Amino acid sequence: MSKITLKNITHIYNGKVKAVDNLSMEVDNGKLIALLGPSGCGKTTLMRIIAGLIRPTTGDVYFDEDRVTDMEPEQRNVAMVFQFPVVYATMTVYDNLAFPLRAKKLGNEEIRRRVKNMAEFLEITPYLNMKAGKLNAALKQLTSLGRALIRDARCVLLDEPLTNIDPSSRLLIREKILKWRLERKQTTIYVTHDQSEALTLGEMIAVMNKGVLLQYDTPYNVYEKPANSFIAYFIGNPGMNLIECSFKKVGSKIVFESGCVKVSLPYEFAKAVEKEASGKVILGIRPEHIKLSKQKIEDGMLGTCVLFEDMGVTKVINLQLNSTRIRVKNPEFEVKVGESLYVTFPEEHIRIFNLNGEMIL
Amino acid sequence: MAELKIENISKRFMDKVVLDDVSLIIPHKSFTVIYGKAGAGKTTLLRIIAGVEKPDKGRIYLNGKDITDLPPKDRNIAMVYQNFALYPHMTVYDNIANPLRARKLTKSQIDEKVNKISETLGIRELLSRYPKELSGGQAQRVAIARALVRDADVYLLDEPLTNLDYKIREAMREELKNMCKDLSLTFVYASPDPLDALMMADKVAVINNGKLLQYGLTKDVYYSPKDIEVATIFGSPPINMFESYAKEENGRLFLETRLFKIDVTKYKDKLLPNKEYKIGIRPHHLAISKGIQANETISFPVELYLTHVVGAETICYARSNGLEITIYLPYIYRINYPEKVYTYFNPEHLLVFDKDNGLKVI
Repeated sequence: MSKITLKNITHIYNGKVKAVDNLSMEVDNGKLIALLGPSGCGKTTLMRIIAGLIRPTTGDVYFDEDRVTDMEPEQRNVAMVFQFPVVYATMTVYDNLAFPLRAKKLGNEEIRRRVKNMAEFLEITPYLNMKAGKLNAALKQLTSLGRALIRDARCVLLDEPLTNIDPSSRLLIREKILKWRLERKQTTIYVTHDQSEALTLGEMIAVMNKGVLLQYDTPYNVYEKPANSFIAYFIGNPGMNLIECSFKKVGSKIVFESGCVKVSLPYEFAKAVEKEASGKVILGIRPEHIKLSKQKIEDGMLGTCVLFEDMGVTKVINLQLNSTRIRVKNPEFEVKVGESLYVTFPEEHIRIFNLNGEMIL
Repeated sequence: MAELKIENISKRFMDKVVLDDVSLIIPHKSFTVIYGKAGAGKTTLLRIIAGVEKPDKGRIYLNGKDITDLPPKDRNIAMVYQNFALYPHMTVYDNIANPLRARKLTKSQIDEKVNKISETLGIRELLSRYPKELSGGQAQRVAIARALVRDADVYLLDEPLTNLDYKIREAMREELKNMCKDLSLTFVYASPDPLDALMMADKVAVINNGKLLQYGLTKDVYYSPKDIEVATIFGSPPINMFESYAKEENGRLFLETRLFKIDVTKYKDKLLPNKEYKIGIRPHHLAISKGIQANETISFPVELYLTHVVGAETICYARSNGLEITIYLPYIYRINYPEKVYTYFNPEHLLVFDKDNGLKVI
């Protein structure tokens, strides 16, 4: 296990496409962090740089104090799991798990013990004698996960390991990864485009877009205090509502307005927005924080339901407030399309971004 | 009224029965999801409707006309595949226009249709690009546009969103649902994800091992599954099932499990004493508290051992008396170490199944 340090990593493909842009970060020894971003954001490139499959155009990779930038992948002792399960199809599950241990020339007894423990941990003991090629995708992925975790690598890189697994097995494998994190403490980077995987599994989350590291923080902060409007929208299901508003000072308040959206915040609290010369900001509020009422309420804004989705576990209501469309999440509320509702935005849940998307409040 | 009628369709590949006597009527201008796990038979059903696969038995009717023996091109049915292919040497515009050119429309008609569908799917600015210059999500939109640009009677969509990024999937679900409604189209959509059905579909057909288990309004199938099998496979996260025993005490009837006991006297006419039943409770009908909840709810102690934060919600995994319980909370809740709490539910949400035949009795 090692601490991983990335220093000013830039990677440019074919001399023109910048996949990673001056990225620096540290992953503490024994931590599992999630690297989150949409497809094409550069996260897989970064993984490949850490694994040694790509040499960065500029910048350095350190494992603890060792500079590994010029080392070949096999010298780095990094374990990887990919989106598509990679197993030795003609070997049994047992031999798949034993493979990296045999390569390290461990004794037979030691190998048997470790394979047995890993198989029990992953609950794949009944399949040990089956050929890996005959397994379904989820069991194959568990096998390749086992092969990565069994070998005491300096770090484990998991590159979208659940993307091609059916939803019911996905939860099961996720649970195993979480259990591994809690019990074994191995430095792990989990790459994903799925925010719920990142929020569930990561002790820290690094959010990337267009090659740039946008925020590297705890799951709580990334969700509640997104550094910019991209993260605010990208994280959350659905993402944060973002409404461009003009603002002006009225008495001891600052009033934010856009069509029939009208919200006021105490001046002392919100005065930082006055720096915005454009007179405009983006107001953000998460769908689950919006309050709904069928009766008229004080400061309530009137909207019309245009789409109602009952997801079973919760409900998503799309409301039209003049030209602004907002999404509201509420586990209880039943509404019909065309019905009118009053909404309020509780002050403590309002976030304000400037027009460049950077968080102000 | 126009409709798609699937009548007694059976199909086997070698020795394996893929579809077993499937019948359903899909109304015009509706969104139907064919839901089932991988290998349930949903893709085969779509391929039979499209005409690229022949059923061993059964007939397909479109608007009252038997189309079972018609080749795909004469059916006026469009299909979007999970692994779509665009023509790499053609621009996005030409890819979308291609099915229209085959139909000999005039240049201005084609132009109008391509522009309209690109507008709806938000890909207008991509029209002059080539497929290799598109992201996965953009390419899938183009593939969908190419299918939807045709005036087909039915549009078949085979897991079109499965390989897409989560965030794009979320936006596309909304777009597809709106499009079906706004343009009055008929969508038949195969998916292994219960959320696809819950979020988009008017009706859902649940299939498993080639058999149609239940077909109806999505809401009805979810809240009132016909038997244990449907309740178990259609729901995310899966429903909690408890073994129970019906017992009479002082003239009142109770269902007793290893964890709790419920007075079910008001359902006396539907339950028999001294008989085994299964009780189903959806994870989102369970809540947690630090102490016992009084009032009308049923509570029991559990130990939470894992929490998964999913957006603004949390899936909690708990154990109690040797049983595994899943609880879905509509807020963020984290634990670092196992934690003892009470979970409770409103008996109104109870589903009770006959243990012998699996059928829902309450």
